Amino acid sequence: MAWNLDSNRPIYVQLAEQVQRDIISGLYQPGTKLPSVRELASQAKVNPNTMQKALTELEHSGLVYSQRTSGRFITEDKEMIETLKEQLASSQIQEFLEKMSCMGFQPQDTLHLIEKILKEGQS
Amino acid sequence: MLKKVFKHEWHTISPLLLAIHIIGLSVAVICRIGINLMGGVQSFNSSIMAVFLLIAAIIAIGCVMVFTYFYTGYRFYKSVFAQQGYLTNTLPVTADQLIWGKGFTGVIWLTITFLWAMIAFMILVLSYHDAGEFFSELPRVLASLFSPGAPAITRAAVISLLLTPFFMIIQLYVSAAVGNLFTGHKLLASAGVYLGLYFLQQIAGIVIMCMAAPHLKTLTSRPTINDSAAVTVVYNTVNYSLIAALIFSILLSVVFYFLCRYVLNHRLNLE
Amino acid sequence: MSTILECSGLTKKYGSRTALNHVDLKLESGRIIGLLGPNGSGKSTLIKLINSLLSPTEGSLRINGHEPGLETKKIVSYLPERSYLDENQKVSTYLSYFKDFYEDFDTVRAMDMLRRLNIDPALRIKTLSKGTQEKVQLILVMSRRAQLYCLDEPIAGVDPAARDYILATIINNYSEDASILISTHLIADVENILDEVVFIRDGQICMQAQVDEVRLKQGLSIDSLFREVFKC
Repeated sequence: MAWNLDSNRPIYVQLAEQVQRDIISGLYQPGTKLPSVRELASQAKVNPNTMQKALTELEHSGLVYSQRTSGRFITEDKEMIETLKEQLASSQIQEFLEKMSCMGFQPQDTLHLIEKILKEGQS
Repeated sequence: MLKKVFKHEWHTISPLLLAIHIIGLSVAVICRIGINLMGGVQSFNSSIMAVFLLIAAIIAIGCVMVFTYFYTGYRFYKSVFAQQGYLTNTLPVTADQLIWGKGFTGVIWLTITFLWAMIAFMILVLSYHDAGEFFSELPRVLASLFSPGAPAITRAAVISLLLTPFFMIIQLYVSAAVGNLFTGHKLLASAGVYLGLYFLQQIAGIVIMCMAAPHLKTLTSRPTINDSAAVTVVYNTVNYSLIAALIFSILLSVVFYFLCRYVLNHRLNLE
Repeated sequence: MSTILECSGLTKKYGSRTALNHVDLKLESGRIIGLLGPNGSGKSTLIKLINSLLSPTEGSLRINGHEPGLETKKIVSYLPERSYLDENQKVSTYLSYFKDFYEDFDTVRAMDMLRRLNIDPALRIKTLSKGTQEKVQLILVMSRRAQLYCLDEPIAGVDPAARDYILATIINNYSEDASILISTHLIADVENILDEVVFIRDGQICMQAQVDEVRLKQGLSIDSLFREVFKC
């Protein structure tokens, strides 16, 4: 499974984002060990140096921490992950609302539309 | 590293050479059986078929020898100056190790092929009686050739004989090295260089003979010369020209060696 | 970080044609570097100089502090543009060949990679397809624990699946204290694995940059940057 990378943006930023998404989605559980840099690099088909840089970024944000000998672990701070999840969700929603407003939908209209689509999906 | 270069080259060139020597020897044996059916080696002046078989076998032996010689040269060209050269020339070995390591395999195969040809030829022409005599005499002849008391002319001849495979191999190698300097048709160029060097050496050989010739003049200028003195003059002439040719070949081979080494170190021209 | 390659005033002329013109270049160890330029720009000449297949006309070149020679051949692993394998030999012959000549050759690793591709070492090179021959050569080259790998056009002329395999092999065998110099004109395919790029044109280095800096500062992929720099 190659990761979807855009060559126009710094690769390490995209790698950090991807790992962050995997943590939020629960693919990597809090407190568990992250695969090694080499393994992740091999999965993403990128240079280990770049993956290293991405993980260093994540370390700075506190989402992962490294233990000198045994590797890198996901933070046990579930609250932090939750906050991040919300942040990510709200930024996605913001983006979506902006796109909708470009098409002339007021936020209220958008909400109605969403409710309608959800109902249709249920029936 | 020298040993490793030798080992790998040996394993690469030997299977094919071994095969053609076995085939060549089989041809000699089969022809000899045929000759025996025609009435044995005594029948060479009575049976055309026997002579035909003899000539066919000698041609086969000659082909094996010529092939062996040029195959070692071709292998050198191919492994050093053609595409395989990208690997050969990036190995952590020196040019000297490359030339000697590969050169030894060629020298050994040339020596083998000379001895092999002698044996094959004997199988063809010797009667059982002659063969028995030959092998009973061989130790004595060899001992006299290598004895410390052997005359200078014998010693020069033996040394020339032993060094000939080295001269022949380095001449092939230098031809490949110089041929490599050409753009395109490198193999053809190598063959051309080889022929050129061959003719130059023939001319040099004649020049050496001519330089030794003044000694011969004394034979004709003094009509009163006695037989033993004439023998001495002829002997000295042959002796001088043999030693001069030997020294010339050694010097030439040293020049060839350094030229080959220089090309490997500084003038590689891989496609 | 130490310097793996340093060229100063490096010039190579073939007769009257100048292939490299006073090149000054310094490469650090521990990176994957793309040597990018159009055909005939001098990429192969530079790589051949590093591998002592050519001698410089002028200037100097040092690999890990040594001039090209016996010492540098021990630490540089080279994949030429074309195959150098003898078709009549077996794959296993080459394994023992590399093992004998290169102290840093890892036979176990090479065998492992061959096994994963289902290549039987007892097979002769000529029985393998062209693509498989190229893979065997790459496996040999990448199974060395070298300090500098020089890969000359490793993905030119191969199908996309083979391309993926080659790039994955390069990444998986790369150790952080070594450097890899990849020459190519197929930038889009390799740019995600590069740390650094060197652009070469008409025998001169026209740019040396960190790839993520280019993306960050100019918002461009290396491929787009290349197209801009080499616009006709």
